[in-house]
Amino acid sequence: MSTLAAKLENLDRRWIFLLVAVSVIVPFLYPMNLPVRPTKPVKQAFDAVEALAGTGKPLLLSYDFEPGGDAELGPVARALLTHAFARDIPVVVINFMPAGAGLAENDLKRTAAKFNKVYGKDYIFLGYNPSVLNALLLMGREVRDAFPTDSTGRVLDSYEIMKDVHSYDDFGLVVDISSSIQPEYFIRYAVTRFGAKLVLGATAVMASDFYPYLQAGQCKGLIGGMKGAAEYERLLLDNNMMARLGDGMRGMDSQSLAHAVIVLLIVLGNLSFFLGRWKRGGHHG
Amino acid sequence: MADVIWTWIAALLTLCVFSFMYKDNPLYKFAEHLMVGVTGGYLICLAWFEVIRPQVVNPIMKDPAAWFAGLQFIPVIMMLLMLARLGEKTAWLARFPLAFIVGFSAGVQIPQVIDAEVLKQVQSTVQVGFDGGIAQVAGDLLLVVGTICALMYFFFSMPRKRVLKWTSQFGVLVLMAGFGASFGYTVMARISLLIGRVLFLMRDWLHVIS
Amino acid sequence: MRSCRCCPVFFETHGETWNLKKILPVAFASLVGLFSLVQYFVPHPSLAGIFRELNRWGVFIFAGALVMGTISLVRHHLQKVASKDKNWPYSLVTLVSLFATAGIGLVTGMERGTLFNDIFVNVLMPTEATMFSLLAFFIASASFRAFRARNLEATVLLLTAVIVMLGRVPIGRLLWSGMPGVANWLLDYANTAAKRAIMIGVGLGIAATAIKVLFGKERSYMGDDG
Repeated sequence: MSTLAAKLENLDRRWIFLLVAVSVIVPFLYPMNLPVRPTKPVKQAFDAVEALAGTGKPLLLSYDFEPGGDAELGPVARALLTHAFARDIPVVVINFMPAGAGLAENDLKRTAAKFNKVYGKDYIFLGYNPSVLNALLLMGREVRDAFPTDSTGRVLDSYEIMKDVHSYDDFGLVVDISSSIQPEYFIRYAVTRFGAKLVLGATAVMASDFYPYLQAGQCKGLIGGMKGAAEYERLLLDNNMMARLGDGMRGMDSQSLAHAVIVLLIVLGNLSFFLGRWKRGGHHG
Repeated sequence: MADVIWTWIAALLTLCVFSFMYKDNPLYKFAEHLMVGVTGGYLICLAWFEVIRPQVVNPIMKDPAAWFAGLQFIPVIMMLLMLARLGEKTAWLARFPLAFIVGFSAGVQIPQVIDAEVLKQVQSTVQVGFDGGIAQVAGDLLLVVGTICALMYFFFSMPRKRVLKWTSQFGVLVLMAGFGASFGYTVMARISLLIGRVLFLMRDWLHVIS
Repeated sequence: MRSCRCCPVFFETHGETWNLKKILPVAFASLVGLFSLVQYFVPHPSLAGIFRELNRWGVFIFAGALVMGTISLVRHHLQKVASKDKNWPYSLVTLVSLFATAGIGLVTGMERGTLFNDIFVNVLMPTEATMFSLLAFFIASASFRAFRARNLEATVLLLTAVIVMLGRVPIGRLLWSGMPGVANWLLDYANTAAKRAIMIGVGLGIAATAIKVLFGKERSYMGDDG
């Protein structure tokens, strides 16, 4: 027993790395197709977007993550864009994280092309603003003060989609997809000061921190990480808005197996800890 | 063809970074420094195309007199003062834009933070419904008692005796449950990031999955 | 404790030497802060106009910070190359890639389909994303080595983490059908209570620090000799 404990204590961490890698790779080769069931916060987010259909009011989507968070939040953003375009909801995209501008540019144009959407009429990318605080305060009165031009450098009044859009009041819903501090700013300023209706998409690391906002009704829905994206994709599939599995759902088998492996590692770690303690207790006794 | 070459570059850089799992090595260092350089170049373009050109250059080119009369040069001076930090003797000048940001944020934050993160949270805690099934009623009770007890734990102005001792001890357990949830979610986040890279390598590069 | 003669309320000197290089920025922060606080309660159009202008200043200052950061990065690596510091060839890689990316971007623009965008998608994205993905291996290793049920508090932490880990992914339901329900209950109530208590504490802390800034008591933003 004590030999086992010692072996576990001194295990080279590269074996653990290998185990994790295998647990992620194998389910892609041999899919288990585990069912994904949407949770309440994701359903709420879906319903908030769905409620925009037919109103003509645009969705304001803030793309606040960088390549480091793309694996988690890219699927969230693409699922939301798919939903909006499938329901003919105009989309206005902004961005407060430098490298997020490149991600937004690519995701937006790729998803829009699938639905034959026209830039400037069905969707627009207003580009990057370096100060989230100041931009959110400016947008309470006039979007053009924060974003005088779109990402291509043309003034906003030259686009049909921006004709009657000036402040949060003109957006049916605000969605912030973030891997950083922006959600707090959206809650404090867009929601609390200007009364915007907000849905949050956040990395799983941050998601548990936003439950108080959700319970207080300060945000209308919460999509947490890749699992949240998978749940949203499930809802899109069920409502015939998506033809095939998105990256979120594809990753869920690997996610499941890797979690099981990590729980196993925790159990083994504790086993070695208690065996060691039992052995030391025995010596003292 | 260009797409294939780019995918190979992306895949090789991915493997360079993954090589760190074995040990630190020149391939990893190369990829790391390349990333820093490309990010720097990206930031220069972003600052030019998204801020300096539309908000400084275009207004000056369009109507220089109006730009000057509208005192639009003041924020540009503030922007340039940030650069003063690069010089040893001029570094103190950068205190003005920093002081502006700190002072401005402080002023606008006071009412908003108290409203969104204190009053609204207290209100939502005391207004729970205590209705629904037994799990929900128990949850509501835990929400009210747990929030109060966890707040008691942060109360350091009195010695921890009797009521304060028991409540703060329960508060610690509630906080631990919160941290546990965060840890569980953190594991989830990290695994998702790895899944993203594996998906890229297996689908976009090796084409072993569709 | 002595006070600055010009404004004894705001600037307690704590024995430091005060000069205009310190007094003016602190006074500026107080003035701007008090204005931005007051305008919240006085919605007069003239104040709203000034507030709009001040917000635009903020955007410019952050843009300046972006430029300053990049110049600082270039200077740091130039120094390393010039002094043939250890690992200087890597600094050369940084400098060459920085200027090449910036040059290409300024010529082609940043839109999809440009060479600049190809560099973003195929160089920046994979390296940064892979660097973050390494954390998956380290968190697994840390879970194995450090996540121990040493006492009651650690056990609560560990059990909650395990339930959330299993309950939030599809495999949890296969192991026990009640797992997702328990995980959601913990997130909705225990987690919300804990995070709310922290949020209220942090909120009060932010407000208190902000008030200190307005009265010139908090000056750490001024740097070492602030």
